[in-house]
Amino acid sequence: MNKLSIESIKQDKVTIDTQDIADGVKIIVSGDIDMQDPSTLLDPLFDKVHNGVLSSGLKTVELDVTNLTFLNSSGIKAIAKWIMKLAGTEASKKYQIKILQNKAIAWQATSLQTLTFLVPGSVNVV
Amino acid sequence: MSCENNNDRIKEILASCQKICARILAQYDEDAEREVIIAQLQGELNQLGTLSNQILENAQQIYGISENLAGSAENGFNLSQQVQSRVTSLADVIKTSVDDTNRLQMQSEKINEILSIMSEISSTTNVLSINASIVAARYGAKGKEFDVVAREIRKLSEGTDRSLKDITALVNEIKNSISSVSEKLRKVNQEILNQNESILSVAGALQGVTLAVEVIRSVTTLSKQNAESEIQTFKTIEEALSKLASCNTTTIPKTEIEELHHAIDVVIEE
Repeated sequence: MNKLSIESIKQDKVTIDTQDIADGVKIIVSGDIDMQDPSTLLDPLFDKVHNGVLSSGLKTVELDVTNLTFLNSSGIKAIAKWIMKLAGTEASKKYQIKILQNKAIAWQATSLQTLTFLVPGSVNVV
Repeated sequence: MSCENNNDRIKEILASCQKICARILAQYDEDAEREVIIAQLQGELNQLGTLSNQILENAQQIYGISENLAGSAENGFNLSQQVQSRVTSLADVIKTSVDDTNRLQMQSEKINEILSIMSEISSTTNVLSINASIVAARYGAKGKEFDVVAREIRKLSEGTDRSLKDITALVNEIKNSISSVSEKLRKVNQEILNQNESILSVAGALQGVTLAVEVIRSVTTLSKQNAESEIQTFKTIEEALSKLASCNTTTIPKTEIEELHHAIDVVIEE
C-alpha cells in the first residue's frame, strides 16, 4: 500500500494505480476514459489525493497518463477541478503536480499544456 | 445660600450646558463626515459592482465562445472519425482487390502452363503427321489417301500452333495488365494507410482541442461563480451602508443647538 492508502482502481477500460515516489505519490492512469460520468470515479480519487497530500505534507504528485489512450471532456474537467483546488490552497501548503504525457498520443499534445495555466509554477507537463 | 454662591452655581451649570452643546455640535460634524464617507463608499461599491458585472458578462461571453469552439472541435472529431471509418472500409476493399489480382495472376500462370502443354501436343501432332506422310509415301498409290489425312492433321496442328501463340501473347498481355493494376492497387492501399494515420492524428488533435476548451470552460465557470458571489456581497454591503446612512443619531435640529450654545455664551459673559 502507498503513503496515502489509495487502492488500485479498475473500472470499464481504465486502470488507476497509486505508487510512492521520493517526496510524494505517482498516480498511473492507463486505458481509456470514455465513460459517461468519470467524475464519480475521479473526483473522490483526486479529493483523497489532495487532502492526503496536504495533511501529510507531501510535496509532489505525479500524474502519469502516458498509457491513457483516450480521455473525454468530463475526464479532463475532473482533472481541472482537482488542479483548481490547488490554486485555492495557501502558498505554504501548495504542492507540485507533474503530468507525464505521451507526445505520440495526439490529444495529449494539444490539451495537457492548458492545465499548466491553472496554477502557474505548480503544474508541469513533461 | 448666598446670591454670589447661586451665581457661581448657575455659571457652572451653564458651562456644563455649553460643553454638552459643543459635544452635540461635534456629533453633528461627525454625522456629516460619516455621510460623506458612506456616500463615497457607496460610489466605490457601485464601481466595483459595475466591474463585477463586466467580469460576469465577459465570463459569460468566454463561456459562450468556448462552448461554440468545443462544439466545433467535437463535430470535427466526429467527422474525422467517420472519415477514418470510411477510409478503413476503403482500405479493406482495396486489400480484397489486391488479393483478387494476385489470384488472377496465379490463374493466368496456370493458363500459360496449359497453353504450353497444348503447344507440346500440337508440336507432337505435327511431328506425327509428318511421320504419317513419310509412311504413306512408302506405300505409293495405296498410301495416298492416308497422306491426305496426314496433311490435313498437319494443317490443323499448324493452325492450332498459331492460335496457341496468339492466345499466349494475349494471356501475357493480360498478365502484364493485372501486374500493373496490382502494383497500383498496392500503392493506393499504402496511401490509404498513410492517410488513415493522418486522419487519426487530426482526430486526436481535435479531441485535444475539445479538452483544452473544457479546461477554459471550467475556469470560466469558476470566474462566473466568483463574480456572481462578489455582486451579491456588494449588494449586501450596499444595503448595510444605506441602513447606516439612514440612521439618525441626533434628532434635535443643529440650528437650535447652535442658538442655545450662543445664548449660554452670552449669559456667561454677562
